[in-house]
Amino acid sequence: MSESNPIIFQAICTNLDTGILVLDQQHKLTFFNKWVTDRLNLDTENISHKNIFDVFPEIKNTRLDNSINDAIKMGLPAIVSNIFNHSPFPLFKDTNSSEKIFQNINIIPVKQGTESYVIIQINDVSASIQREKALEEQARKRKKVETELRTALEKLKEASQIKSDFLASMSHEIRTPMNGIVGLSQLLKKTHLNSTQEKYLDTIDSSINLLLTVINDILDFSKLESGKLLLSKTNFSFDNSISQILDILETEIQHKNLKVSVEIDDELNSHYIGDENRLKQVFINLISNAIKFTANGNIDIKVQLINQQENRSNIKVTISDNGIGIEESILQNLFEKFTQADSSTTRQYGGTGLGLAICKNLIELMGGIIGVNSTLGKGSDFWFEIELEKGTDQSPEVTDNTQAPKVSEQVFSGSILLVDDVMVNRLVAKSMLEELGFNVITAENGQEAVDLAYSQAFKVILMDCQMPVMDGFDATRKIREMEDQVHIPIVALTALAMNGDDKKCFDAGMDGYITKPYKTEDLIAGIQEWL
Amino acid sequence: MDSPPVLSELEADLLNEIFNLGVGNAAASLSQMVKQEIKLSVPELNFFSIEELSETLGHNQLLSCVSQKITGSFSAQSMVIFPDEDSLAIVGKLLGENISEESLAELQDEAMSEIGNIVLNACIGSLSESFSSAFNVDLPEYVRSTPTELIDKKKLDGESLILFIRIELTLSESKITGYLAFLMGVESLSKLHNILKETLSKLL
Repeated sequence: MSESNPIIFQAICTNLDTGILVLDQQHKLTFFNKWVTDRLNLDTENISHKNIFDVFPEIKNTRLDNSINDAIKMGLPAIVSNIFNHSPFPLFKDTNSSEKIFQNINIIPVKQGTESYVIIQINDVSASIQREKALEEQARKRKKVETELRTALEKLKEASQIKSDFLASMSHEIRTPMNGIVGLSQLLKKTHLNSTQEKYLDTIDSSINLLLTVINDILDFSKLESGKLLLSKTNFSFDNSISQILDILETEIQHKNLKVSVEIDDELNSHYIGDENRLKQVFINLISNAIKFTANGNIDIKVQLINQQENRSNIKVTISDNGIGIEESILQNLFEKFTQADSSTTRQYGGTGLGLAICKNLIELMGGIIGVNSTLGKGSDFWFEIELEKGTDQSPEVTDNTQAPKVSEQVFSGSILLVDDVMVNRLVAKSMLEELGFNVITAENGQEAVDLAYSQAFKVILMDCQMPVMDGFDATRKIREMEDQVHIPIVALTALAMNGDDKKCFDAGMDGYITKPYKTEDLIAGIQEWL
Repeated sequence: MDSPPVLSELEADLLNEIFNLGVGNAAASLSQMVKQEIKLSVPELNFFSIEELSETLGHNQLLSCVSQKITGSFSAQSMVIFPDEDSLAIVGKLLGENISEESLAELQDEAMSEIGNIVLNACIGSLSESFSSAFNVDLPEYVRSTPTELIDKKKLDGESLILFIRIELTLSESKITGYLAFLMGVESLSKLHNILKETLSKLL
């Protein structure tokens, strides 16, 4: 076509978006198009018919050089890609630029009679290289962010561990003085008081109970959050558990003049296997809420059988009230920690906002679901569904409150060894036990306890865990080593109340475990087995 | 089915030597280009039918292939073939460790095309010099496919035999096996046979 129509050939070459260089056998530049001169920042007037290696000395001894030679000598075509040869020709973005372009080069030998030529075709691939580089950069950044996130997560876990550890030690530090307050206020009640003093003391009592609930809630929640709470398995009956809870809440129910009805499905087994204490905790939370938010009216507790399989039952528990109800917008977040239905209710009703979050976590830990339906002004139905294994039926327990003599009325005898390094704790326990009729011998550390146990006989040893000289664990092990035949019951009396602390006591050889603070009833319940 | 020509020991030796020379030059060019030591050798040369090629390479083996058509004193579709995963490994080693896997896969075609081009050019150059006859050679094309598809794509007409040359590429302490294949018709093969005979007679 160049011979038939040089104008068309010229126009094509001028407007091509690719560089064209033509060399003859002597490596002389016989042709180059506008694309090339637009990208050269050297004087292009005199390059025509010059040797390509004189014009571009930088390509000497490169792959491009070899390829051009192979093409001229042997007619071998070649591709010279930017991958291995970034910018062989000194070609720039424009004539004034110092930024070299990335090039993909094709070398095409052509024969015309005896003459041979080499066409060098140059493509600018800078844009795609830059795009690739940008993608690489993006990938690198993404990886960096991922690493940062992972580090942050580790730190968060670490912080959570620190929080748990802190709560564990706080628990111990708070429980110890609380023990003094609880015990002494109980002892104080038994002295001669006038009516004003009695009223004050009742207030102290209820304040203590409130404070204990808060502390226990916080500890439970931190255990649940860190996955440290383990469920136990006991044979229990809903009937029994609910009536025990209603006994506990009796004062509040009477105070508000509320009507409470309990309806338990006849088809339910009398007993099931589950963590009774944790279930009671959920019941207490939900029923206390119902009491708290109902000024007057009814609270209905329903336990229904949903589904029955061989030895498992699906059970739904609903606690309905006709109290203030909850706004729909708040319902969905209600089970989140630190959430209460209304911030203003915090002032009116109090509470940590942890109760429902604990319930949700506990029920979920049991493999169940929990929820609420509510209408503002009309009341709320809190419900949960759990699947439980059927338990073994037992005749009603003998320890019926109405029949058993009240703790304070019982009379005991015999010697008890009380081991505690804190004077207030010794005072509280000793007074309580003496009031009940026991003869109390005290020791201030584990070593003293071991010595006393060696020389005297005791019905029970009440053992604190953390003490100077010798701690309660070592003392227990020592006593177990030296006793023959006669097993002395040792019960821990301790402010170590985190999960796993009880196991430590049993591992050391103790028989029971009472946590501080405790009331006379708790003390009796903890040692009764060995009296 | 066309049967492959029976080369005398000397003829086979000569052909082997020509390819050894070719891949030796290719190794030198590659080493210079990537500034790493690359060794190439030709341990084995065979004539295969198309069916045998599939059997040797594995029917479902994905191949990475660069081909250049040559015409002249004999005609052939010349090819450099590597198992696909090996070709990716070669490109990875040549380009260094800073390249992500995604980019590597994108660069594979272009990089293999150039590597194949260098190897094929060197071999064609060696044939051309040894036989004192020039070939017309097309620009390289890159294909990824199984052996059967590859032959279907590259077959022009009548080619049914393959001059099949195993090559060993040694790169930073690992040895990678690849292949050179010249897809030819019976006529071209007998031409090649004759050229070999002529060349030998001149040498002896």
